Amino acid sequence: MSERNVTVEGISGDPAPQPRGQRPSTRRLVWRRLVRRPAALVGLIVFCFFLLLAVFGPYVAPYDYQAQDVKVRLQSPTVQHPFGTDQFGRDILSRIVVGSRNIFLLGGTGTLLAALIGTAIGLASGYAGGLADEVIMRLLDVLLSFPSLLLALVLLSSVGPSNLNLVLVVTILYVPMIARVVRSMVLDLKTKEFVEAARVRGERRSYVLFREILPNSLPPLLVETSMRFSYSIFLVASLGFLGLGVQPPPPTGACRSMKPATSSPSRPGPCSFRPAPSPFW
Amino acid sequence: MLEVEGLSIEYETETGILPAVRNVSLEVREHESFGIVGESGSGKSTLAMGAIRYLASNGRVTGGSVRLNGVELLDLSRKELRALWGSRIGVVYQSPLTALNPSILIGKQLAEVARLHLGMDRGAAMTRVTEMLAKVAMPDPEAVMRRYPHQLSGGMLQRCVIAMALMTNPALLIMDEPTTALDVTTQAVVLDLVAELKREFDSAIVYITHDLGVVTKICDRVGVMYAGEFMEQASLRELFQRPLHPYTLDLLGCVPHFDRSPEKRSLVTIPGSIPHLDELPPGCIFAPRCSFVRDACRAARPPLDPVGEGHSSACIRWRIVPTPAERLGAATEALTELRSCSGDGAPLVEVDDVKTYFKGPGEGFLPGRRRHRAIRAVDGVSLTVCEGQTLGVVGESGSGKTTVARAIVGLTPATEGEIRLHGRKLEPAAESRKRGVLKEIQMVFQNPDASLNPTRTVGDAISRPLVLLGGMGRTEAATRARELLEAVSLPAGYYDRLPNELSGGEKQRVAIARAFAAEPDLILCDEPISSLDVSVQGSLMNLLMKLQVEQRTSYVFISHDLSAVQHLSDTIAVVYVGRVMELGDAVTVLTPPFHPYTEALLSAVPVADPDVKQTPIRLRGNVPSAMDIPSGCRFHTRCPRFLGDICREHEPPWRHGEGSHRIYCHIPLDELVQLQAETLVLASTTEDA
Amino acid sequence: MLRFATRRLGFVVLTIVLSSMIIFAATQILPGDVATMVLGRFASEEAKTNLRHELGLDRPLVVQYGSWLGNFVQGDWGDSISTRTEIRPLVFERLKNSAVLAAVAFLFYVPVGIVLGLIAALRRNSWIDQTISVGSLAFIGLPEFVSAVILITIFSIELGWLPSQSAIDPGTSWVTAFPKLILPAITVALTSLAYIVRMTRSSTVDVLQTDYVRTATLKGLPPYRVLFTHVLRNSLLPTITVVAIGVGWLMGGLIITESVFNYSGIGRLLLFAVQRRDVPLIQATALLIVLIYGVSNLIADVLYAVLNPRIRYN
Repeated sequence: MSERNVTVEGISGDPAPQPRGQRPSTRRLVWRRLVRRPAALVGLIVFCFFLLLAVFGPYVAPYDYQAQDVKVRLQSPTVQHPFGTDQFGRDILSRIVVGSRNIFLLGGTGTLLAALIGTAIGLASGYAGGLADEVIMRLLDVLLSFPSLLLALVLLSSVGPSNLNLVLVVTILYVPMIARVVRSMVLDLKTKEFVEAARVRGERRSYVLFREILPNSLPPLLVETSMRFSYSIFLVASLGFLGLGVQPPPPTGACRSMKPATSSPSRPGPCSFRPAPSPFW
Repeated sequence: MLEVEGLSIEYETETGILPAVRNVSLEVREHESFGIVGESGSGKSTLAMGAIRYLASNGRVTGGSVRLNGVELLDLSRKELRALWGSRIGVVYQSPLTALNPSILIGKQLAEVARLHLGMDRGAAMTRVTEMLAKVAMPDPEAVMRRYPHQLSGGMLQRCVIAMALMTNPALLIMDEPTTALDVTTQAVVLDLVAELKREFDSAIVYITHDLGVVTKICDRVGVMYAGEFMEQASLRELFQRPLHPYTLDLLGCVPHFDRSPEKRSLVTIPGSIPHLDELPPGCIFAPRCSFVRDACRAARPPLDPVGEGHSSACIRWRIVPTPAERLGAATEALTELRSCSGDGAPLVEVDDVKTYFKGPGEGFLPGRRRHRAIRAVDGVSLTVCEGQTLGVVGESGSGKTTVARAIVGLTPATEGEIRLHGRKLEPAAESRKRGVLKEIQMVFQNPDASLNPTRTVGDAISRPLVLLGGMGRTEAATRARELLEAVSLPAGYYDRLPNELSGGEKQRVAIARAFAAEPDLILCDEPISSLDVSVQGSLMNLLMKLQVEQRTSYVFISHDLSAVQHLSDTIAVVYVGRVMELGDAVTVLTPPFHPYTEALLSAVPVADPDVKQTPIRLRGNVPSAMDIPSGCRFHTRCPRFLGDICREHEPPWRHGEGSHRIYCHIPLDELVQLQAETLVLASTTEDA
Repeated sequence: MLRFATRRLGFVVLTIVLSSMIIFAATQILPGDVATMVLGRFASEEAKTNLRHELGLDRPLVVQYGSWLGNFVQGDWGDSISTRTEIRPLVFERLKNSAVLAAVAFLFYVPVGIVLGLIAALRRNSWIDQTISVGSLAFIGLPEFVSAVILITIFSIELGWLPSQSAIDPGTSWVTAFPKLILPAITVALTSLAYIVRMTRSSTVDVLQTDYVRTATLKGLPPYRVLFTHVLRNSLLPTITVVAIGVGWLMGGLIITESVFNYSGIGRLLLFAVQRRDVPLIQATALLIVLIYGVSNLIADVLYAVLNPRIRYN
């Protein structure tokens, strides 16, 4: 008898039995979540890419990022200068490579701080529950009701774009997001029987939070943090593009070289965003 | 009508090909119902769904033949198959709550079948749906048709699904665990309905279930599946009375029998576990766990051969398989003596008029002015647990039985009333109780997967209470933890394993070891076995009884399963919507006079014995919400022995019977005896045999 | 249902009021003195005091906040410090431009996203699903200035099909200006597009695995009818939420995209205000954006509830 494949296109039947084997470990869980949430996977890739750049950047950069060479000012991409040069004849690729290190540090520090504070808030709020939880979450919702870039702009406009402020802005933006992820894990875990078993044998609250709940919240927390990290890089880069980024020196990656106000009108190519006459620019 | 011959189904997975169903044959005639019984992983659903060619995308039929009224299903094109699905083949699913589309009106979903297969227009289809709903005894069909699935209860939804499946009078009706998700009393109503419809419609029914009790209510013939093959097929009566395969025999032995003797017996257990599909033994697949195994069994896979009239068995030694009665006499160790000496213990825990109320959803707009109706989960419960004894608490979902246990252990503090341990009052919340008190009360939870912290090893889980409550040092705790593992029949090598490396039954054993670690006086068992397979349930019940005898621990055993409760308990409390309805020694609770609710539960329990006669008492409607408890006697809305205004308006008195037996009812005990004596609820013929 | 909508409305109003406090507080802790900034460093102290009084800057912060919010609600948004013109007509002019751009983007990404998501879900794990999934992955979180550069390089510089600059002279009709809108619209749409694709795909995949789709299939319904009657109704519900959140993404994306393409919209106005530290203008534009974001979330919530009988009848 021939084999018959019996599936409707796109509509599949009952779930097949799982192959035998041990259920996934934490590491597998992190990986599975990453695969299921591709944004997180991109985050991880970006993270690794920037990590490599930050560590090895200065060694792979073909030129000194500050070296000016007037003979090659404002070049379009060539073999010698794959990304072209800026108005001072500096190699853009080298500047990106070196600048990325800074973005990495700023975004990374901000995200790390956000992860620490967000985890603390999420744990406390979720475990306490009740009115305190309600109030904390409403306040965090307020921060989430701003498009990130808008909030970043408003905050930076008042305190000014210093490196410290950039880190703080990243932290403020991401604390609510991380706190939410942790809180939802806590809400789920605190009703789990193993947590109740801990309460029944009289464990202290700190033990329950840090030994029973936190280790089980790590997979989603790690995924969220790595995703936030990659977004923080985009955010810092975007802010740099808008002129509110890392203060020179050193330069912020690609952004400064493409920043509207500093690029030259005569230069052809992608960096020719010379604003047309407008009342504002 | 339906002939399946040599059907084989495989799944392709990352790790290789899994032969889920191998060379399986069965035959079901018109008006006949064939029960497929098996534990989880036996391939019973795959067989049924594969036969009608509905498989996951990685599944495929690799051989055999499936004929429905002579038409070879395996040769049909997709389109021809669709013409059969829903018209000649109807399916009823396990979970009625998810089987219907949540965003389409019931009437429209049912009418779809009539319009598609009977060519009816909208109006005619709607009329047909109304008729069908009336046939499945649906009250007010027209109102139901204008509702969405989430507005109906599980039992009502399952009736809708059955009506939909029978709309076209199909030649084949597949029912895949249709009552598993329902309460016992609702299950009984649905089973009655199916039995009745079986006569009215011509369909051949394939009924899939794990529950040996349910089979006896519905099926004419039964096939027992194990790891993708049939072990035995026989008529219902013959299978239960004269099983000719060791697996069937063992399976029957795992189920606790209703008996009114105060003696407790251990159940039959099947050593080992169901083999994985990628490493099946070469000979008989049951050989590794079989107590009658010989070398010949391991040599070649025995075929399912006829061993009698309409009876076939896949055992080469079927002639030596004993009858269940012989087996019962030979294989059970009597725990009777040990148990009787723990008979009248002093009161250990007293629960005195405990109430647990929650804040319900608010009504009204403004936060400050919203009125909250109380959810009265536990509404005045008094119980006593005696030393070394088991108190069984039984009731349907929503009865508040779990909340009582959580109040005792302090996880959900009681809002009113008193709980005393050794005569001393307990703080309501576990957090405010002293270590010495916490040590005495431990809990085993329902869900084995959530009972253990997935990031801690088994050893950690068991050692922690030893260190914290037992005051042991680390090395001492580790040694003791290994002993405890052995006490719950797990290898000491499990000490370093993580929970995800354990099966459900093994996890529950670890949870039991953890509960016993602190050497408590009382262990609360909240449905500890209900999510497990029959054979695992049996061995866990044995374990609980063994440990009780050794440790002199008291249990509160909570379950919706009356047969498990009666098997384990010395005293039984029957609860309904937050109140105890009947309380007393296990024996007295199970003999008349009964509270009408107990009577209804006993009539509804599917007993795994086709010869047991049960009174056909069925409850109408659903369990009332704890937010909206009926006045007077809270059972009056569903009571089959409803008297009149007195039940509606007045709380019933406690009527005291022999010993500690109490019934919460307006009907005097002697009248209850008269009403109930005529119809003996249980006739345990297996006892006499 | 009404109660649900009212409660959601209450939450949104509360959130917006709290947001306005943040905006106000953030802009008030500016290190510079507005009077100095307006009048110049060498203005007399008296003139500065007068100006502060005129602008109400000498009152307590709470009073200032109250009057600012009150005025905003009543439609008096004050004057811009840098352009010395009334803020409201200026903001609305720009908002109109942004709305046109957003609408073009919206009309592009919502249908395209849903269709791509559905195709990916129905052909799960096929090459076409892989392509769509990987493609949408690449666009999630790609900063707008990068995608803008790529688009401009391809369509303006290499192919020369579309203009790289989108400044539109006042008075030009939208029809003639349309080609200028295409590149910026695609730029702002890409992130949201990717999200819609992913959400549609995952919710459709989930719905395809439900018991009720099995019921529908085993009723004998042809696949297209299973899809249209039983699947879409449920699987597109979560997409609605994403569409609304997409409005927020759009708002954020506009700030950068409008700068790159030199398009006179509200995003660029905000950036201009930030660069000039034009406090009243920052406040007005920021609050307006938060308002739009909040309202679109409200609409999404209510729409979700209206289309979902489980919420509608509870």
